[in-house]
Amino acid sequence: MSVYKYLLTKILFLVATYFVSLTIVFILPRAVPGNPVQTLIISLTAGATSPELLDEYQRRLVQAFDLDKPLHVQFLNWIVRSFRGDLGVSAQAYGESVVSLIAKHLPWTLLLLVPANTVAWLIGNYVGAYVAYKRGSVSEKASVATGMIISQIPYYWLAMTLIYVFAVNLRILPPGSAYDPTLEPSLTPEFITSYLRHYVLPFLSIVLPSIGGWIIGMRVIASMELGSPYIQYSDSVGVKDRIIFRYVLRNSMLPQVTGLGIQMGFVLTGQIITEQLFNYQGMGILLARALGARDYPVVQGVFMILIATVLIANFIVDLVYVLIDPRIRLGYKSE
Amino acid sequence: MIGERFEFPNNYTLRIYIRPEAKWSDGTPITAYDVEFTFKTSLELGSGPAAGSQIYVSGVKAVSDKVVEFYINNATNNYFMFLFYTLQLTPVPKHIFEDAYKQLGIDIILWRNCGDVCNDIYTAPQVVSGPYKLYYFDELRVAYVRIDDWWGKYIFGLPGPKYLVHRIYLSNEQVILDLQAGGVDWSGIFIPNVWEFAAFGVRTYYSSPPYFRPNQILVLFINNQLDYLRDPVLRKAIAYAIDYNEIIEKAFYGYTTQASMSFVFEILPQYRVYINETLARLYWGTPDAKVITNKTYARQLLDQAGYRDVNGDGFRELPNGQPFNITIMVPSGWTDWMLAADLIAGDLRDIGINAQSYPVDYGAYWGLLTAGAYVTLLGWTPAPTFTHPWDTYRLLLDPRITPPAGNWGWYNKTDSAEREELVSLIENSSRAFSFEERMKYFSKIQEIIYNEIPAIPIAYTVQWYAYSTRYWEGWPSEDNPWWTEVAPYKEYSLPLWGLFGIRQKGASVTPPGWAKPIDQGGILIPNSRLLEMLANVTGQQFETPIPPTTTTTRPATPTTATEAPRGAGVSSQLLILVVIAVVTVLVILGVRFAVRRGK
Repeated sequence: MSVYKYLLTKILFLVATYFVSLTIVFILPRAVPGNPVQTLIISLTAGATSPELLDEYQRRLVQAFDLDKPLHVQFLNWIVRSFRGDLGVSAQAYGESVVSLIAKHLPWTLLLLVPANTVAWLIGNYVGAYVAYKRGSVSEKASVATGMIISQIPYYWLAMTLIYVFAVNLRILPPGSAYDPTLEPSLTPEFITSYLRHYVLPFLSIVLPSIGGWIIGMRVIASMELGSPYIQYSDSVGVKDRIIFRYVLRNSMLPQVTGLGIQMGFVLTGQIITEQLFNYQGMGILLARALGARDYPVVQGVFMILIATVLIANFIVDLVYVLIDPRIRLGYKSE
Repeated sequence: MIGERFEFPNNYTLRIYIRPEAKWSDGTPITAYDVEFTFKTSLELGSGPAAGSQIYVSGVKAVSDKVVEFYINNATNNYFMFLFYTLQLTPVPKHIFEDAYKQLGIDIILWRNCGDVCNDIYTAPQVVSGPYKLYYFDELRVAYVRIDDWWGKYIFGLPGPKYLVHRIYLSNEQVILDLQAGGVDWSGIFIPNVWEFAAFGVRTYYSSPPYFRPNQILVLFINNQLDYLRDPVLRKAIAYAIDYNEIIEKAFYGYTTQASMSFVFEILPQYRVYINETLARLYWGTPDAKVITNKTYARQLLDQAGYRDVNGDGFRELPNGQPFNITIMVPSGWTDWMLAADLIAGDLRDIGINAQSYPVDYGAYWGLLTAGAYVTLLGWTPAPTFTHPWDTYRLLLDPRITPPAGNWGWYNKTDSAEREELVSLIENSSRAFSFEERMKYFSKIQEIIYNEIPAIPIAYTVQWYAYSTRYWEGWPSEDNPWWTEVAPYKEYSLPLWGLFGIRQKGASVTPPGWAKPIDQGGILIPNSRLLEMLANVTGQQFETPIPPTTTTTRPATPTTATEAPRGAGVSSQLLILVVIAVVTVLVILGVRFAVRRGK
């Protein structure tokens, strides 16, 4: 089987998986009780209103969201419109298009999660490989123990602890929000300083547990790599330590690249709980609110993009495998 | 504020005089034509403040620049709803909206009218009538800026803050942290142990228990569609089993008091007069119809009615021997309510009823309520308005209204004569303006409630109101009660009138002179005054036994009714599931086939 066949199969799977996932994403929110119009109407009843007024509103909203149409028509409408770039209008933020809502939330999440994931990945893997190489040393034992503990800390607990210590007790960092609520986002030094001050705690709450996980994973892979014949051979012929370390690092990286790829794919949904704890206006908050209000268009829109990114990320990882690992490339050829 | 005064020239006309000074923020005068345009357009669109008003309002006419008249629909003659639609109408600027409507048509309802603050489907300057303009908004905040040359400056003064930021949170904890740290000046959320926050400069309306003012009535709704729950004896036993004081102390931190079985908001003196004390004593042994917890009596009631533990599982069965179970649905995450539901379930288990609390997420709560798919639930009846208790009775009992808008207990009469009687009681009481006549209807309704116990009132919910004196002073409170007896404001949002009386710390602050009842030179019209005006116009003398207390000039009737929105049917869902299954199988087979051929 050639590389092309390999790719073709992968693409076929990709497209099929995508459509099955879209159907599931369409069905699931509708399978649980509640719908977007109900929560919208309820928000109107908080103030003074009349039954007749709500009747009118309800009629109009049910039509606006196609809820009066049979499910398969709703589904087809959604798919057809989506592929024209129209993800519909949000129910909760009525009047706002789903595309523009996502465009508003996504930058905040990307700015938080991409650096956090990258930093954690780089530090974690480097330290993991290093301690594997320094087997038996004090630094290995210390970092393994620490990594083990940090990676098992629930990240929301860590987030709460960070808020408690730095925002409530020491009062040196703000407890939440992406920036000072009295400032308007702009590129002024004042805003950037405020943004960075608000950035520290959420960033740490994601990076710390994540580093622990990478250390543990990398150490195991690197240890196995260290036992492989080529390393033993290099060692016996007196190759320099630094070069052996580089060999180990490169060869242990493969599964970790997959991990990073998948994690980056999921970046789109944001960190729901972290964002909620820090009142951070990213995709996590958007999704959490949309789910709570049964805002079908937003939930569907976010997942439609999320699934596409995760699948594409996986696909790219598969491709990268073929490119960087001769064993896979050659393996397919030899079949 | 835009309206100067109103009168009833005859029994079908409401005439409103607009203040001569009133101007839009672009300098154009606010006229009767704006009001007329707003009402008619809204009616045409089926959206906005006049949607659905045709049943109560037959027409609107701008008589001159500053005088507008509304006419009641004689077919219903419902003065309460007529005033709801007309007196609280807020007009839009005709000179801006007319062109927008011509261009956008029905899509005008999607127009957000945010001027240059956001990208919109139609661009027009932001023109407003109040003292603030939209300044900026994103997902977590909405900011307004004060218009310093506002037209009402010389009549009402200007509100204190130059900028107003409404912050939106996803968790209460963040609000509380910000309130402590001084990042928030006012909050309308649940705060546990609020007395501990005094150390951070956080204050409440009262400085000692109950700390907060009452807002609505927390109600245990019982699903009237379930046959076994229709037995009044079972409901009565439940009402007697609930330990109201324990719930108030443990779940609500003592912020509230027990509510009356009459559903009358007796905690405020202007409403208390609507309880028929004779009936209250007869049925409940108390003048205010508050149930005194008595579990022994509850057990006796159940024993006598034949609710016994037949199968020996420790819980009572129905008189016909069937086991039954009561779940109490609450929105999950509302911790005080969840605890209340747990306590009620415990009380019910004490008298031998198998009961559990049932927290579900907020979206599901409304879905299950609207579908009638619950056993009991903790909900509420809206805050009282000048029509109380009419508004509450209508929302509690009117079988023509369905959830989520009202009638959350799906109350109905099986007997059609009784049903007609109930409906006519509700309708007639909206037209009766002598106190005696209204009380005649209300007494009958109270008797129905006492006999059938359609739902069980637990306690008053709370107007969440906490402020910080770190930067701003002059907040209305027990010691500075200039803004108090006005009808309950929309919960969870800042009482905007309050802004006129607050000033930056250190500056001298006096409450605005106009925030007083009309007979003391202010602009607030008391409930009794409005009812008196209506009584005069309907040709009946209204003898007021009501102590003079004020309400806002905006009558607000939180009554709602909608048909349950049901999505597509189950068959269609099944169809989709079948399609998924078939597609999945085909894909798997196809790929396997492709792979094999490839090999």
